[in-house]
Amino acid sequence: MISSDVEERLAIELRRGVISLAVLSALQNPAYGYSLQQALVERGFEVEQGTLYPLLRRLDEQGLLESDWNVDESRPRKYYRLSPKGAAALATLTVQWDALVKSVASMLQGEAK
Amino acid sequence: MTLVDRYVAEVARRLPRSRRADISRELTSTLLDAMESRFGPAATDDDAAVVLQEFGRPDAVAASYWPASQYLIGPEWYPAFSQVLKIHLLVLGAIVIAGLVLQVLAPSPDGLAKVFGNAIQFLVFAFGVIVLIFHLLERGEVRVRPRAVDWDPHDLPSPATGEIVGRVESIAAIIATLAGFLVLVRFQEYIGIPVGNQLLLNNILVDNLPWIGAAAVLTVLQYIVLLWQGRWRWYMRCYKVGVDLFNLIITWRISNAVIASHESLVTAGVTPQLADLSSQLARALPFVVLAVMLYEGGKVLFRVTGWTYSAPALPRHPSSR
Repeated sequence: MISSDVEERLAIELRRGVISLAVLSALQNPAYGYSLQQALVERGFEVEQGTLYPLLRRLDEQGLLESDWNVDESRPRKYYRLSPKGAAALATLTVQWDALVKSVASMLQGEAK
Repeated sequence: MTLVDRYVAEVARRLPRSRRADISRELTSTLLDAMESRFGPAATDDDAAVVLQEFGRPDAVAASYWPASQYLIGPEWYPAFSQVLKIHLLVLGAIVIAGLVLQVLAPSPDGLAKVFGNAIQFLVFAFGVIVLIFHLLERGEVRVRPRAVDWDPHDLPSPATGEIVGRVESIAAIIATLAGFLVLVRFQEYIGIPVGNQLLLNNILVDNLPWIGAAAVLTVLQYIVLLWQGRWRWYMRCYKVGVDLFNLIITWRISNAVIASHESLVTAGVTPQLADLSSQLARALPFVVLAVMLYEGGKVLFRVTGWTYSAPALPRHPSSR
């Protein structure tokens, strides 16, 4: 079915647009890759692993996250947490997200009437 | 070596060298975490296979770690690339013309082969170099970004004043016309039907060469004006019709001369069948040329007068009501 393919792509694009925001928000508390993914899933935010792990590295390289290896546990794990720059970005994105949600919600309500 | 180790090694060998160790280490720990959470601490290789299968093919996983662009030349650089490529082709055309002029002024036995051989070498070599340079720009090896050119909507050309002619199209036509004529001039003594040590019908080409030259000059002039004006004006359309008629007359002259040579061909030893064939081809030639001209002219007429299919207007979006 062409239309369901198209819809699926649109849904993926929609989610992809907000993954960074979800990740920055979730990493206000330090987490390692797998635990972060589980935390997102628990809150109903499915994210492909092939998207999440490279994204963590990218945000780290951009200075929005800080990372270090913890070797005290059963196996070494790379922990990520929000950097000060990341916290500022999260604040900005949150404002934009709220405005976006409000505007789109009003449009969708208008359509529904 | 466990399945996870083998998997991580497969991913790692496709990763950028500088990040290979760190990503491998993180990937291993992530996969072991996933296995443990699903199958407990005593997970087997079969359990690992399930997790790895879900994680994805090693090449796809490795690809996701590469920087965003995996283009040879991406959309950001493509316009500049295509511009440079056009310049490359124009330079190539100029080189071919220069080579041909040189061959006409000072002919050498294998001169033409050299001209075209060098042209092909230049074409391939320069193309490779251009692709390489733009790929390095694309990869960000050279830290330059395409320049955003300022533009003013007032400078946009008005579409109402005639059909646009691409600059490259005009220059290509000039080069092709000149190159074709120069090849004829250079090889005039070889074109004809060889019988024994004679070259029959060669005199027809030599007789008409000045006319062909005149037609070439008229055609080049036409494209120089188009290049300068950038669009078809009505008087250039008329001029083109004139040039087409001139070409038709030359074709007619050549055709008549070939038909008139029928007897002399047979006396010179050409088989009657071949002589008949050449006459028939000569008779058909002007009509073929005329048909092509009418077809091309008809297409232009359709475009200019707007006798084209136009798509129905799209329905308006509900929100714009």
